[in-house]
Amino acid sequence: MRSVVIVVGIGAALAAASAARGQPLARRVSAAGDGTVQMRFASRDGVCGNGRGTIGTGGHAFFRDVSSSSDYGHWRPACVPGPVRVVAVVRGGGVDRLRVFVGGNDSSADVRDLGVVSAREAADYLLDVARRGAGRVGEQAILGAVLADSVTPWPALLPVAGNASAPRATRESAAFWLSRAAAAVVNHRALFEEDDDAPDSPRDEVRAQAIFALSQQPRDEGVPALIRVARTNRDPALRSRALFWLGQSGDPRAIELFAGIIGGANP
Amino acid sequence: MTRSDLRRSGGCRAGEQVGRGLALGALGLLLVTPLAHAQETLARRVAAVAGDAEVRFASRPDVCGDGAQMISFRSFTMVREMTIAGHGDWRERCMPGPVRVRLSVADGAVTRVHTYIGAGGGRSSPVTDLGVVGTRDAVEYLLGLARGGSVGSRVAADAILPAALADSTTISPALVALARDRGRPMEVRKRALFWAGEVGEPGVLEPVRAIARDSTDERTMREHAVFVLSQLRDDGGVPALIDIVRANRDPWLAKKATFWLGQSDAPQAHETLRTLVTDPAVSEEVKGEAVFVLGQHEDDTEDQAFLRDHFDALPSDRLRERVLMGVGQNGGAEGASWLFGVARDDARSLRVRKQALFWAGQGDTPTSGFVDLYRQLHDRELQKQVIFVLSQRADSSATDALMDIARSDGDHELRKQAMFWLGQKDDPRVAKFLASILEH
Repeated sequence: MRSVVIVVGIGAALAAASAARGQPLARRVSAAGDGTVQMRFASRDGVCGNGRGTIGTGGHAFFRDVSSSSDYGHWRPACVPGPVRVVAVVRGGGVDRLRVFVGGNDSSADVRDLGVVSAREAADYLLDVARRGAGRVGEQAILGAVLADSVTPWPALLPVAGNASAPRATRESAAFWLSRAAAAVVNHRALFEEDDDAPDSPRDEVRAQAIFALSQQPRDEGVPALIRVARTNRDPALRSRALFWLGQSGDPRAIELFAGIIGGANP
Repeated sequence: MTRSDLRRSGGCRAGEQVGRGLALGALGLLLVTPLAHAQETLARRVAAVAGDAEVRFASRPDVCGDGAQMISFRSFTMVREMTIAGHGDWRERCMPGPVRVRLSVADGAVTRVHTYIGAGGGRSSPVTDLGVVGTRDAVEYLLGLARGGSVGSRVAADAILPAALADSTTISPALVALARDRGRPMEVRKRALFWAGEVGEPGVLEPVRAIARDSTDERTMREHAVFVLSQLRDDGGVPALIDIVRANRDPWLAKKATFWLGQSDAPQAHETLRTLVTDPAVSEEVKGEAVFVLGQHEDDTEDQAFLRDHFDALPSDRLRERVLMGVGQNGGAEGASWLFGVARDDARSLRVRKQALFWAGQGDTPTSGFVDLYRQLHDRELQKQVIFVLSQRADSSATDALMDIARSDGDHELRKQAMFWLGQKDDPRVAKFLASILEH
């Protein structure tokens, strides 16, 4: 329990610091007044997109705007590396809507383009939005911060994931990305590096199913068992799966585990 | 206890004679008070009240209540806002007594009607006691409320119950007339028809049957008439129900009538239901209902045997599944054994075999029976179904069986299936077992 307090304490301190750093960008967004603003910043290695709804990493599209899939008929949308592009709708000084893309451009006349901003400044700004934004805004802001190049968003995400009063979508998004970061650390790979977690033998399939079954167990039985797997199992793929399901659990013990695994790393 | 017993068991048991005597005594005392108002109509007296008024009058034999929440009349026991089929401890509190009607009055109009049987408890609000009135006056007044356009439909509907419970009156003609009156709210019509049947006066059968068969009337009213036929005393409505089923002019109504035939113990009802199952001219919808209600006869081994015997002759899997359901729910050990036989039978469709397993799982067959069957089966889909059946059982031996499959079955798909369902179990052994799988 003590480590949670420390983690939250560190997270809060970092959050305050990052909020201060993000202020200039926040001021620029605010100065643009009500309406739509667009900004771009460098993305992490391995991130690609189609400039619209699709964002992919490591060969997997993890975010896809369903409405756009029909635009391509039988074709798969191209996923090409590019900068993160954030489009925010501001009303009354607050972010009302926020969407994250990789690549592309919105050249509409009513969009105020803030141009290219530093990835760190953008991530700080977005994490601040995530802490204050409701529902989908928080979820998208976290996505944007995670995609930002050379940024370590994890310390700021820990208190968000553990904050029971934060919007559920925001909390779940923070826990998800923390679980992915922890999995990357235990597997000694980059966050968006291609993984080989898919079970490729009947034995692996059975074990993967056992992990899932554990995730469905009552928390007091399932979470400690998953934590043991994540900490000690020799199979990295199983550890990664256990971390994923722990991320879905929303359990404080899982957040504590993520903090311990990630430490100061930035996978 | 038979189905008829359940439908018709009387509510008044404990202290019936004593209670009735006391109640009549109380009536005698109370009869003194209303003489000063003898010339004044009850309606005027009620209208003159501001707030709540109460009148009392003699109740029919077989009426009892607890003075507050419950009223029982022959087959029918009501608690406030709902109706219950069984009695249990309620019978002990059900005492004969006068009908007590509480009327809420505002600006001369009745806004609420509450009915009680027997002496009431403490009153939470002041009530103007209008004393004891004659049953004829009471019924005339209450039917006036039920017919009247000046009161809301709830008041009109609620006025029917106390009128029906009044002693020494013939009320069914007036209630039937109300039920026929399409200008009245549906709730009033339905309530009137129900109580017309319930009071047991002669001459009700034909009007109720006529409403049921009248294709110009609303569907909900016709369905209700079929229900009322099923509730007539001494199975008096059964021939009419059979006619409706046989005529099958409206399949939805025939289906309803079939359902209610299934609630009767009358031999001709049973005979008709079996004929409906075997007669190829009967529609699938009605046949399905007949199969369903026969399958629900848990105390009737003949009906269960009949369904099993005619299983193969039924024209569709849908009907066969209804037999499986009935046998699974009410067929006992003999039924379970038969279901296992269906599940093992390679000649039958996979769907039917899986359904047989499912319904066998709903019964009391020991889990060991399913474990043995799992080992005998060679079809993966059926084995998956056994795994599902095991997952739905609460006994620890079912969890043991699932863990055994998950640990050592030769088919990894079945192992995965067992693990999936183990994940849904709330048993502390499961997490330990799953963790042990991951360590090896």
